[in-house]
Amino acid sequence: MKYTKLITRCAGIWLMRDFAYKYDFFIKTLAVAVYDVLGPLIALFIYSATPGLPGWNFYQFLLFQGTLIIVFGLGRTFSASLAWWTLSAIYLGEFDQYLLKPYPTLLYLMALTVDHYGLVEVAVGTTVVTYSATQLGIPLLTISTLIYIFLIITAFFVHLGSNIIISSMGFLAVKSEALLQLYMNLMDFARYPLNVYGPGLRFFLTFLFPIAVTSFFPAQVLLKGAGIKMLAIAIIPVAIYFTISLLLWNTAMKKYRSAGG
Amino acid sequence: MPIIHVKRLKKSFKSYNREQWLFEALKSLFSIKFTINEALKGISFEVKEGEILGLIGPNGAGKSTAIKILSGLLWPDSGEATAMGMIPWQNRVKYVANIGAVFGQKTQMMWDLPPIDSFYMDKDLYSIPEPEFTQRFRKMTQMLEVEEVMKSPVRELSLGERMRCEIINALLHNPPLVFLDEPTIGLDVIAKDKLRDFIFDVNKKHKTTFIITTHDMQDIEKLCSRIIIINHGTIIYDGPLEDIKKKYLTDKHIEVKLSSKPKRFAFKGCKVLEKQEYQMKLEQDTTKKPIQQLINYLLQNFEVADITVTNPPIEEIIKKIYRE
Amino acid sequence: MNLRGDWGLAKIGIKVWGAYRFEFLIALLTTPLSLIIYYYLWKSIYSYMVAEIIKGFTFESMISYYVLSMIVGFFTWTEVDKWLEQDLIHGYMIKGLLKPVSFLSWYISLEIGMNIMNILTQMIPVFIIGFLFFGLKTASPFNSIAFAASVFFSFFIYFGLTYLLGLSAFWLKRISGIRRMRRAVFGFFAGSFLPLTLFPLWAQNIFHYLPFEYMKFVPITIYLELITKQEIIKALSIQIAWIIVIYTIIHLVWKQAYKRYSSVGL
Repeated sequence: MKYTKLITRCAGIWLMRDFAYKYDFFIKTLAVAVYDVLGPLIALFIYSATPGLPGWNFYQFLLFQGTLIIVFGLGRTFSASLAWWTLSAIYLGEFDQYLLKPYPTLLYLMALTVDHYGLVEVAVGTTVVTYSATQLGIPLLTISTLIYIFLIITAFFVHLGSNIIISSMGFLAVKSEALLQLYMNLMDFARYPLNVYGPGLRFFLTFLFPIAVTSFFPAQVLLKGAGIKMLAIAIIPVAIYFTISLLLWNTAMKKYRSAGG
Repeated sequence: MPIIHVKRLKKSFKSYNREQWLFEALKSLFSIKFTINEALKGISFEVKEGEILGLIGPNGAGKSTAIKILSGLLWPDSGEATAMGMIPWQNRVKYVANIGAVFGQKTQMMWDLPPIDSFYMDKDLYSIPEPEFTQRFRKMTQMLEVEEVMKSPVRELSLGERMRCEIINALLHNPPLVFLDEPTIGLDVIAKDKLRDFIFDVNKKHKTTFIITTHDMQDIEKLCSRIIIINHGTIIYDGPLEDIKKKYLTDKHIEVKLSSKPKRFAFKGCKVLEKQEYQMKLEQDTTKKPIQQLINYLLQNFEVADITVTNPPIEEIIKKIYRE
Repeated sequence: MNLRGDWGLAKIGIKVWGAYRFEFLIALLTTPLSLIIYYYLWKSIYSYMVAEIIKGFTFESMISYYVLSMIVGFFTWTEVDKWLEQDLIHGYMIKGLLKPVSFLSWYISLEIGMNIMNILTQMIPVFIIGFLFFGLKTASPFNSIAFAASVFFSFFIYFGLTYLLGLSAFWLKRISGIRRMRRAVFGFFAGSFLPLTLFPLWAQNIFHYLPFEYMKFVPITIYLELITKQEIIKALSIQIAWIIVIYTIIHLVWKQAYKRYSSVGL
């Protein structure tokens, strides 16, 4: 309850700040949308020049891309600036102020770093998914859709977890901007379906850095339905990944509060 | 009624020698070098409710560490401390709801936003009821004369304006215990005065307990009824300011600017520290003769252009305490 | 422009780069990752096809395209629009105006200094990675020289357009939206994500009249020997023409911006 209040307060504050420069606000909103449309546009060009990706026709791939955009959008709204914000607070020696507030530090930081532009992405992604699902004749009001939404929320925790890991590493090691850069590059592996990659990478993207759940598994659920085994493969690694991130955060906080940064 | 008990509080830091270059960083993986720095060597004291306590000492003496432990940010190595019946570093969330803190140089407001936004955030965080919030906000901004800057981004505020907003930020939820780490550092005389009056006022009205660290002797003289001097992690003095004043603040520094060249002179208790063409630095031992007499003497015998009287810096007082 | 002064500025750029060297080195370690993604993507597309060539690209040349795209990207990298915006917001503009060089050459020298280091520390390693792991082949001497010249021109086109957009900060103050849009549009139309030959024909025809393809796509096609010598000469001349046009516009807009700066004070 308090968290909802906080996060809306923050979003409101950022929105008002950005809105003070109206042109910039509208162009930025537009730019975010344009950036998202590039993926589907590239897909269209690839599919009109080639037979496309094995196992995926154009609309299926479009649905895949749309899913990716939704997840990126959620990640951006609620977690994408978390690591960056924390790292710069550590760098500037200004982290103490977050510990002085009577609220769980991680939740407070998440509220502070809310980014409303991510909602534009969620909207664009939803439109792309709805459009391609209609073209494919997939009914949208089924259990599969519920599972799809559930998997998308699961996928959000990969982004959140990654941000928490990078933030924690900022306390445990110096210069973890490197990890942030690495994470952003690794995220790009989610842009194409799992079956494109070799077996080693597939394993890595499913179990170790479970980014496959941010696009591949949810799209599969809508296209081919959900199986228990597939859901387990999609969800369990994320649960482990996220738990590890929280453990790491607690270690980091312990270290910070005993060593003073 | 003591609001804070501290017993044998110890804290030491390890500082690693971090390497910038990859090769050296790799080397340091195998031979980890660090130095242990004892910031607090087992300090004990109590603070009464409604007291304004001055925590003074040179840089790196352990003041900030003590404040950080008591405000719940840091864990001590050993020792006990309770404040308002709670152990500060345990159950942080519940504890910090009852304190306010300002750490001098570091802002707690958001840099890009106007102060009022940070205040509204705090309203949510501390669950301050609307009427109370509005009333306190109005009163405090009025008293500290910062109403006009409420809507400009923090980064555009002057240091004085920012500090005053910082204090409001720490006091809006009306905490019974407040820590101020160097609240007047870098401020001009007028801003310092405003801030001190405000702190004094809050202390009188709400019986708020303040713990203040400062380098400014005037802060201490105007605010603190009691001081604790820390050096090298130990308390070397704990008691009323009056005692220190009588014993150690007997010397005053006088800077005189002259419109003619100074001649030789002799005055009881007066020592010439420095002599230049048109200015002098003097030190007067006030137990031998009061400062007023020296000033009168100077005015009568010299063509004085300007005269300022200051207290010797804290460091000198500490040196004196050590000499005994 | 005097050359000695400019070299002095370029040295400052190198120093600025020194402060960022860590970030650049990270980029060097992580950017080959995106090459891996493109490698697998196109491998599965090519293996799914009967034909071996897509719009003039074999699999090998397609991968080389992305390696080269990265290399040209290092050379043309600029954030001068961000610098302009930040300098205006924080009031550092005055510092630049007090220097005994024109504003544009101050920024450009800074940028060249940074990019010289980029070339040494990133472009050359990526070239080597490309040769070793991604089947990049050396180009003929003529094409190599033409490629180098073309990339050099690309930098000036890229920098000029970015600078021009950055000047809008004099009117709009905040241009984070424009900067974001710039990255998306430049990247897409210059061919960073996909060779422009895969775009619809009508779009390609329009592109010939726009400066974007000369910022990346054209130099790459020169290196990959996808166009004839005559076309290369023509492309290089068009690049020069674009540079003249863009810097003339900058000159005109700058006058207005400066007028605005001194009248409004910002």
